[in-house]
Amino acid sequence: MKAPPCFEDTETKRVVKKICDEFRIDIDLLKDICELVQERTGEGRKFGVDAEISDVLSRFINQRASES
Amino acid sequence: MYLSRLHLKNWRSYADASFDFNEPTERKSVVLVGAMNGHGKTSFLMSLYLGLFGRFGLRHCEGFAGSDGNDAAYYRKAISDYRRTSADPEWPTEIDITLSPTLRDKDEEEVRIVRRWHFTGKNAPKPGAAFEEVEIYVGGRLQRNTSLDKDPIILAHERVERNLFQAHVAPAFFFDGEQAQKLIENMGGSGIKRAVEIMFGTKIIEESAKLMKDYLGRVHNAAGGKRKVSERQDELDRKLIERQEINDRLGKMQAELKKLEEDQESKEQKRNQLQDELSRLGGGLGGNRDAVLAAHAKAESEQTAAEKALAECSRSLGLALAVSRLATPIQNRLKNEEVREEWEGLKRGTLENKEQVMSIALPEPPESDPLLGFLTQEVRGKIRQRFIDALERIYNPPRPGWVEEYLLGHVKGEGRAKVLLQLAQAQSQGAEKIKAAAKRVRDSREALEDAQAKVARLEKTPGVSQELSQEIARLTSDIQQDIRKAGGIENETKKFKADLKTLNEEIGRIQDELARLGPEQQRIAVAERTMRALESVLEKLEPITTARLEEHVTRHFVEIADRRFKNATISLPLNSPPELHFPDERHNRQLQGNSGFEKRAFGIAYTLALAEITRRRVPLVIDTPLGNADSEYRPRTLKALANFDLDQVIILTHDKEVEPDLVDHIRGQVSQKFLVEYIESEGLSVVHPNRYFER
Repeated sequence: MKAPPCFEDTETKRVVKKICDEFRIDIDLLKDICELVQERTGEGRKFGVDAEISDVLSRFINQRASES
Repeated sequence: MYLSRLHLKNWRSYADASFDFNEPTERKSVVLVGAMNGHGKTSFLMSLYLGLFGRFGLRHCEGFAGSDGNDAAYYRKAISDYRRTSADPEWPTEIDITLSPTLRDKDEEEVRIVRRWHFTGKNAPKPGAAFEEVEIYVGGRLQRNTSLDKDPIILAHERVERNLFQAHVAPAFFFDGEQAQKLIENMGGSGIKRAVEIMFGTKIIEESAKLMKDYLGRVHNAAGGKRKVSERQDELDRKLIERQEINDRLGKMQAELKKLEEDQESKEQKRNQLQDELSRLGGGLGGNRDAVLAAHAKAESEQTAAEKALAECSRSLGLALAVSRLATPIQNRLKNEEVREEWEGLKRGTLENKEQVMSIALPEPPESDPLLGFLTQEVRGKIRQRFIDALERIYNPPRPGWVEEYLLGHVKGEGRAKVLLQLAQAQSQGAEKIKAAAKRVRDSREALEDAQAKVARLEKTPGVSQELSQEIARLTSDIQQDIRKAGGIENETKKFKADLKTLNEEIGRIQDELARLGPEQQRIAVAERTMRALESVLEKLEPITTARLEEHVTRHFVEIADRRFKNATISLPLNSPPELHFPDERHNRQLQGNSGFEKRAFGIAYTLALAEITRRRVPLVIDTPLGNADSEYRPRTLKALANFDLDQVIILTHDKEVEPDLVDHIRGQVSQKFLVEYIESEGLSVVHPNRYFER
C-alpha cells in the first residue's frame, strides 16, 4: 500500500516530520494509521478497527519505550 | 496507468463500441479521437465520469452540476437520458473501463471497472438495487464484497477511489475544455482543497483524522469519559510547548551570542587594522600626539647627552691617542726628572746646612771644642774644607736615573704627579668604552630621527590620524557594548537553562505519572496527539500547495498563451478566482475577465500542473482543448500537451479544431488515432481505429 504523496514529497515530508516532532509521534505512526484507513476503504468492514488502531498505537508506545 | 480499453454498450449513440488503446511509449503518448459535433466526443468523456464513479461522477457531466450523488431519482433519470434510446430493454447499458499499468508503474495492477445499469421492458430504470451493478477487477481478480451491511455500490465506489483517485478530482484529469469557466469559478477555497487532495493524497489523512476522532470518542466512552490522563496529557503538552519555546529562545540567544562574538571578533580585527594603520602614520605610540611629541623631546635630550658623553670620550681618546706613542718615554722622563729634582733638593738642603753641620762638627772658638780645640787655626781650616768637600762629594755622582737637564722642567711637583695620573687614566680607557659612547650617540641620533619623522607625519596627516583615532575609539566603545550585551545574554541563557531544568523535571514527573496510568490511557494520549498531528498536516499543506500550483500553472500558462503574457504570473487567491499579475501591475486582473481561450489555456495549464506536481500516472483526457483558439495558439497548445511527460494524453476533437495539418506539428508524438462516425440512418456511432479526418 502506497503512503499518501505528502509523506514522500521532499518539502511536505519535512513539514509532516516537523509536525510529528511537535506532537512527539513518528511519521511512521501517521503512515500506519493512513495505511489502515486505506486498507479499509471500500471494504465496509469497520468492526475490529479499534483493535487495529490500538495495535498500531501500542506498537508505537512500545517502540518508544524500548528506544528510551 | 493508461486507458487500455473503453467498451460502451447502449451508451448514448454507441450501441456496442470499443476503443482499444495501445500501450503508450515515452515518445508517443498522444491519442487523437476525432468526432464531429454530436458524434460521440462528450459521450466518451461522460462515460469515464459515470463508468468510474457512478452517481458520484454525475456532477461533472454537463447539465448535472447540481447533483450531490445522493439523489437516486435524479441519477436514474440522468442514466436513462444517457441510455441509447433504441436499446433492447433486455440489454443493460454498460461501461467497461480498463486501466493498465505502463512499464513505469511496476507496483501497479490492472484495474477494470464494469458498471451496468438495468432497465425494465419499458426501458425504465429498474427499481432499487437491481438498477446498478459494478464489478471491479484488480489484477484480473474480481473483488468480492466483504461487507454484509453496506451498499455494494458505495463499497465499489470506495474501492475505485482507493485504486485510482477521488471522484471529485476527476475533472482535473478528464477535462472538458468547454468547462474551463466552471473550473475557474470553482477555484478558491474548494479548488485549493481539491488540489491538496490531488497533490498530496490528503483525503486519506482527513479520513485518518476522522477515524482517530471516532476512535477516541469510542474509547473515551468505554472508559467512562475523559479521565485524568487527558488533563495530565494537556498539562504535559503545555509544558512541552513551553519547553519548545524555551529551546527556541535558547537557540535564538545562542545564535545571537555567536553573532555577537563574531561581530566582536570582526570589530577587534578592524580595530587592530586601524591601529596598525595609525601606527604607520604616527609611529608605534598608537597615534597619541602628545606621546609622540614627548618622545621627540626625549630623543633630542638624549642625543645632546650622548653627544656630550661622546665629546668627553673623544677628548679622553684624543689625549690618549696624543700620548699613546710617547706616553712611556714621557712617563720615564718625568720620573727621571723627578729623581733629579729630589737629588737637587737633597743636595741643596745639605749644602745650605753645611755651616750648621760644620759648627757642630768644629765648634768655635776652638777652646769650646774639647776634641779638636788644640788644633791650629790653619789645620782646623783644612779640616773644615775637607768636610765641606766631603758633603759636596756625597751627591756626586747623582742618584741613578737622574737626568742631566730638565726637558720638562715646567712640570714639577704636584703638576708632574697629575700629568702622570692622567696618562695612566688615558691608557686604561679601552676601545670598548669609546665604542659604547659612539653607539649611544648613534642610537640617540636614530631615535631622534625616528621621533622627528613621526612628528613630521603627524603634522602632515593630522586629519587622517584623527579620523582613525575616532574610529578606533568608536570600535572600542562598540566592542565594550557587545561584551556587555553578550554578558547580558549569557546571564539570560543561564536563567533559561535553569528554567529548562525545572521544566524537564516536571515533564519527567508527568511522563512517569502517565506511564503508570496504564496502556489504554497511554494509547488515548498518543491517539489524541496523532489526531491533532493529522489535522495540523492538513492545515499546513494548503499554503505549500498553493505556492507550488501557482508556480507550475504560471509556467504552463505562459507556454501556451501568447506573448502578452510572457511575464505574467498567476496567483490563486483562497476565496476568489485566479488572478493574472503583470510586472507593471497596471494590467493585473482576474482571469475570468479574459477571453474564452485564455480561460481554456488556464484550465489546461492547471491540469498539466496538477499532473506534473503529483506525478500521477493516470491518463489525461481532454475534450476540445483548443476550442476557438487562433492559428498561433493552436500549435502551441497542442505541442504543450504532446510534449508533456504523461503516460497518455487522449485528445477528443473535431475537424475544425485539431485538423490534419495541425496534427503535423505533433506527428512524432501521436501513437494512435480514432475516428468516430455517427451514422444517422442507423442512429449509432461507429469507431474506426487508425483513421482520422482527411485533409
